[in-house]
Amino acid sequence: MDVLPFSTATGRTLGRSTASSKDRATCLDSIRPGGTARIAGFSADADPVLCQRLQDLGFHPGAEVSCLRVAPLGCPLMLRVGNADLCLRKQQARSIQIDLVAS
Amino acid sequence: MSCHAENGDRDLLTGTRDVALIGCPNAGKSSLFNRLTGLSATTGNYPGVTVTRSRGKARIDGADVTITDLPGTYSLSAASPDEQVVLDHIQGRLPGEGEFGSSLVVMDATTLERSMILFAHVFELGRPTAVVLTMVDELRAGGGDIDSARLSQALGVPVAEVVAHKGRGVDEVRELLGRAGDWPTAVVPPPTADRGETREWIDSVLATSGYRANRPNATTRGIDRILLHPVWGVAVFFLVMFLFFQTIFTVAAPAQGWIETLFAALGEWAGERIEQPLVADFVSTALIGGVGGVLVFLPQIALLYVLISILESVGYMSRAAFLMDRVMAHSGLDGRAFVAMLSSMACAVPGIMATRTMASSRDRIATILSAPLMTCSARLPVYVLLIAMLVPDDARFGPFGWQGTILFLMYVLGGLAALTVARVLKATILRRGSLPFYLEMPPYRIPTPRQIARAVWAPVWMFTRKVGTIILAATIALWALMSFPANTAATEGMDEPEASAYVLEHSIAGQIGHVIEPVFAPQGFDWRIDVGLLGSFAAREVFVSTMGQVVAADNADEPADALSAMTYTHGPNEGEKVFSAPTIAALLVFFAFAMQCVSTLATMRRETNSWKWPAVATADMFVLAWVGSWLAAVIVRLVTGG
Ligand SMILES: Nc1nc2c(ncn2[C@@H]2O[C@H](COP(=O)(O)OP(=O)(O)O)[C@@H](O)[C@H]2O)c(=O)[nH]1
Ligand SMILES: [Mg+2]
Repeated sequence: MDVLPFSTATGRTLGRSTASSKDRATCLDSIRPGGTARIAGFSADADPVLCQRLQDLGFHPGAEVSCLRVAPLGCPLMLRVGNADLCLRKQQARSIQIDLVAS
Repeated sequence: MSCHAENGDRDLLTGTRDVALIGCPNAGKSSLFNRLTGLSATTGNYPGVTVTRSRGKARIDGADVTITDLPGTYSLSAASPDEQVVLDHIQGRLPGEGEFGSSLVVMDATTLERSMILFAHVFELGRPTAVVLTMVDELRAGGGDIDSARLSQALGVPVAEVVAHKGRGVDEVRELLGRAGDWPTAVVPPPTADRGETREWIDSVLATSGYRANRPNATTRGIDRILLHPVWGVAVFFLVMFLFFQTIFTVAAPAQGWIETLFAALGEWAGERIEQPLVADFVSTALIGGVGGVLVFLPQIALLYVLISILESVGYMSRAAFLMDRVMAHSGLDGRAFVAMLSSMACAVPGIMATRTMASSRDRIATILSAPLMTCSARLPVYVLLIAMLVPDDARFGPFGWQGTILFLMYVLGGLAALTVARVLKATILRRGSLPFYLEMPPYRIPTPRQIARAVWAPVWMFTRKVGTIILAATIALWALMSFPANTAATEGMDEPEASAYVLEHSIAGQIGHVIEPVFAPQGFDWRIDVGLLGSFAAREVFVSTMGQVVAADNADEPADALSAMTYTHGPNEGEKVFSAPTIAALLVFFAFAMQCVSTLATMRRETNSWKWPAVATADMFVLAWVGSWLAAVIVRLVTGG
């Protein structure tokens, strides 16, 4: 096989900007410790490679994310997603759009 | 072990069966690999890149199966050089490598959803594939479950359950490996083109196989509440790092002292028994001294690795990275580089070796290139000598002694320089191909002694065999530079310090010192200091004894008085003192920045798999050292009005 075994998903399949129409849509970097959110999509200006990677890690549209804590200096965030604990910097979390479920 | 050196890789490949372990980071690949291959494993680098690879043989039914432990990856999209290697390996595109065989996908049962994406991509490549489920113990203990027979049916490949680090279920894997060539290939590959479809497929597979995820580990949550607490967590972090350092200095330092004493005694003993003075000097200084110079690193490397591998396998390393990430972000690196940088304050050699645990090879190179700027313990004797000559020990400002303050500032200078260099590298030559930051927090785990022993043995053996030879060769070469021509006729009748000073002045090294004198004239260094700098390449602390030899001090190891009296022998400043405040300040800064350590260079060469990075490090640190020391001299001259 001489090409990549899968085609790169386009903005559409990424579910980008699907949340922009909803009023309560915000970005994941604003999540508070103890808060839970559902991923709505990715911001339109986010790096596509980053979006792919975040989805590989379990941050796909529809997934539930909760914030366990924030590091002492305010960054990174410690999150629970897809039964794993993962840390993201705020800069990366900013490209994920969420609907707040409870906080 | 010797039969599987790097160049033996080709023999491994001619076997009919060749299996690669593919999985997410922390899935348990290495634990499984170690169980399967035992001591036959070799760790090296992929050709041309700084990506570690481990290969080994598993003997199954009288035949050898070659196993490769690939770098951990979450997907095959090749966003970094490390992931490119995984993809190239699976597709058999690595230069000089044979056709690739079968894929064994290692999946962490507690995060199965994520591993399934990787499985889908691997299976699609059309190679014979099988699955190993690890962490099933944690899954079940946390109230989760999976029926691996049904999972096997749903995926269409054999599935084996293991507890990798304890070796449970490994026999089943060996059985699987016995028929690796016959593993199924994808008839209808799982859908990967569209993320939504992939997720639907994953959901249906998980539902079919009765998958129930485990609850979060309550113990881990409880421990994290303390260890990641804004106040207690940070306090514990500093305590852990403090103890880490204390252990190295209170346990490894005396052991190093014994090795040094032993080899000094051995050298003396051998020297006294050899008639011919030059041969005696060669045996005692170059040969025995050189071997001692290699072995002296071992206590430090072994101990650092014991501590690092405990912290790593317990799960504390990720926590430390979480706490330190914000600080390390200033250097363009992430929290995972912290321990390597910290270890470099003991010695850059184990510090560089500690970068192996870093996921991104770009970050790894940036750390390797900047770590030697941290103030290592070999600089200490030089700093102590120079600072004592710069300010008297009763000089104080307020409650503080000047000597201690200057020493502290030297540590700060080293740390800042390291972070700055890392930042510049990450913004320039290492900019592209970096992964976005993410850090996994595994549950706390208790490591097995076997795991720790293995983690320590591999680097110690590697260092002795690969780095040790380079250090020994360099020590011998430097000795030769300083001892030839021997001038035995001219030194007849001189006393010992005088004779060795004469030999050194007229040696090749002495001539080099004279030739390069203009290079360091702006700093105020004369040819004798230049010879000392040359000598310090063997190890920085050698500067002290080389200077002792060059000024023919009565006790070459404590040359401060003789050096203070040293004056320029020629040039515009003839008769003035060489070790004036500007010169000493320049020397201090020079030692802080210059790459004067063959051991570090040899380790860099080994870890990055090329001479390019050691060359880059030497060059950039030389520029930094020259400019920095010149500035120091100029500023101190202005301040002291000299
Ligand atoms: N409980 C449990 N721990 C495991 C298992 N396999 C590996 N580990 C631990 O998980 C950690 C990561 O394993 P490692 O083999 O280094 O993963 P790699 O990154 O895929 O090479 C180590 O601390 C292992 O001791 C397993 O089956 N069960
Ligand atoms: Mg591994």
